[in-house]
Order: sequence, then C-alpha cells, then structure tokens
Amino acid sequence: MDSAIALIILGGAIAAALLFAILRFLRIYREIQARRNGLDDKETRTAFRNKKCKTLVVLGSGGHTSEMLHMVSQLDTSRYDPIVYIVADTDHTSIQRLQANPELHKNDTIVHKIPRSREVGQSFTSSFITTIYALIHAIVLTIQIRPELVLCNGPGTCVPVILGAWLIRMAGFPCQFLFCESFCRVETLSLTGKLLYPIVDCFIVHWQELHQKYPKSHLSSTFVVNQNQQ
Amino acid sequence: MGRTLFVTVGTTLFDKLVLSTSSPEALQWMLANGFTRVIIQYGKGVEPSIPKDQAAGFEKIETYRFKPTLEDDMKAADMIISHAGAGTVMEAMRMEKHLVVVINTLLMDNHQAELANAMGSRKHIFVVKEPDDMQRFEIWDEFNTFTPIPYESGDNQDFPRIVDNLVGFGSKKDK
Repeated sequence: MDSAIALIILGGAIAAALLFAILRFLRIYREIQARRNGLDDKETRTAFRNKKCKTLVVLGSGGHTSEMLHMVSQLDTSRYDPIVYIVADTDHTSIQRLQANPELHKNDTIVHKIPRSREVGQSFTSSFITTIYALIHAIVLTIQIRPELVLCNGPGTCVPVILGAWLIRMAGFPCQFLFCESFCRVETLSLTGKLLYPIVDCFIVHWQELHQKYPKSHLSSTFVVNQNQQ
Repeated sequence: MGRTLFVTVGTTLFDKLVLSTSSPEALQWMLANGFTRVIIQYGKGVEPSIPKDQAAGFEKIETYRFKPTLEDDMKAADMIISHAGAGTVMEAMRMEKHLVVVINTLLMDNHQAELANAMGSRKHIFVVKEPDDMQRFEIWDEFNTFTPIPYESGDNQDFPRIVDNLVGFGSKKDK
C-alpha cells in the first residue's frame, strides 16, 4: 500500500512539473503576442473592459450559499455573463436554493457538480485517493470553464477551484479571484480565508475588527440591505 | 389576530433548540403570549412530535425538515427563534424582524457566536447564550418584550463596485 501511495505522489509530481512547463511556455507565447499587439500583460488585465466577463461562482453550503447568492444577485448581468456555478455533488440544498431563484437561475444557467473529497467513515488510504481525485476534477473543470472572474466564499470546495484559476492565470489568461469572508466572521478568519488571503486578488471582510488585522482586505459596508431600500 | 413564531435551525443539527421550542411548556407559553401559529424547521435533527391535544388552541402548527427557501416563513413571522447562522441573521436584519438567536454551544468551532454576539451587543438581536437557557421561561418573557434597534442598512452598491473595479468595469473615468 505504501508503494502505491509513493507511486501516486511520484506520478503527481511529474504531472505537476510537466503542467508547470507547459504553462510557462503558454505564458511566454502569449506575452510575446501581447507585446506584438502593443499591450503589456498588466494592461490587458486592468484596462477598461467593455466586453462581458465570464464569471465562475463556487457555492459552498448552508449560510455560505445564501450569502453568495445574495452577492451574485447584486451584480449587473449585462456585465457578468455567463455566470457558471460549481456545487459539491452532495449539496442538494444549494442547488435547490439556486433553482428557486428565477433571477439567478435561467434556463441556460450551467451548474457543474464536483465530487466531495471524502465521505464519512472512509478509510485513510481510500480518502487520500478520493481527495486527490476530487482535487484534480475541480482543477480540470475550472480550466475547462476558463473563467475571467472567480467568486467564492468558502468553505473548502473553493480551494481547488482557486488553484485551477491560478493555473489559468499562469498560462497568461486574465483571471481574477475574489474571496468574500463570511459575514459571521467578526474577529477571526475561517481556515479557507486564512489559506486564500495571500493568494486572492480581492479579499472582502465585513467587520472593522477583521479589517484592522488584515489590512490588505476590503472592508465592505456590509451586504445587509434593508427591505425598504432594495 | 394571533402572532406567528418561526423556529429555524437552517441546515444544521440543533435538537436542543427544536425540543425546547416544541415542548408542552413552550407551547403553553406561546398560547399564553398570543402566538397561535408556530412553524418549526428542524433541519438535520429529529422531527419533533406534538400530540394532538397539545395542538389545541393553535391555528397552525407546522414542522418540516427543509424547504428550498425559508423566505416566506420568515416574512410571515412576528418573531423568529433561530440558530446563529449568518444567512438567517442577515435575512432577518434585512426584513427588520424580531430575532432571537440561540447559540449552539455543542458546535466545536463556534465561530457563529462571533456574529451573534456582535449583533447582540449592538442590540439588533436578542442572544440566548446557552441552549439550556431556553428551559427557563423568564428568558422567553425577556426576549418577547425585547425591542430590537433596527440594523443600519449597508450600501447595496458596495459589492458590485468592488467587483467592477477588480475586473476593470467602471474604471473609465479613472483612465
């Protein structure tokens, strides 16, 4: 069994190295092209955008989903289109909630399901393999979707998606990641938040207490909007 | 006309809250205080059993596990007793509801208490710090008479603005 794990790790390392090399090559190629067209990489990313932005939304579960759906419903759909969703395949409530919202869930809305990394009661070795499988599945799916913007707010499901999005950017395609910490985090970050804080382009918190501890974050004046002002 | 009480635990397991709001004593308290419609959303927990004779006097007693959206039940409620889920707290603030949050002290990483306490200390909601406190009906009287301070609204253009700036929309005038 140990040798099987060693083999998986070795295979993974070789695959990662190959992927890295390909991505570097792609990136250099795209940079040369961009320079030929008189645009540098930074400009292509932050210049005024007049085309639509392909957006990937990762739905977490429970409260994370409510917060995310509320945020997405505030976006201008003439700018953020199409909006593609990723949901864990065991999370039926999130899918139902999305489908119950006719503003967000149109006939052509695409919802991708990704496998959970482990089920309760799984042995260590088998959960190791399923975790790797879930990770690769999420990364490949993200690369296939090739979003220009990734919105996530935890929990863990969004980490492999961000990894995939990061690979897309390594390949030279513009892609921005936004993580929004849960409204219920007043003084401490979630584990996912701590992991993603150094990586994401935009990190949103809702409380002054957290903003002071994490100065790179954006302090949002909160998403709670009273009924009469909506 | 009677009032409506909505109990919700979201997607969590919180039997203590469900049991303490479906007990004979609790139902008595509700009738005595004019709550004749009760809806209990019990989530992952055990379905509460309410004998027929105890349901006498109520216009409606409804219990269910999940619904795709709780919006209608929240809207209809005069008072909401809830777990500390951020979604429920936000939704209730948005609807300017009378909200009582019971902290689930059995949760290991109880970060939810952070939000509830932050809202509680600003008097937007009433916080019950221990599920066992729900056994004492003085606390029911206390939260029943509690007058919440309305939550000051945030700016609903805040999030779209942050995202627009991030991807390059709306930076026209900066250029």
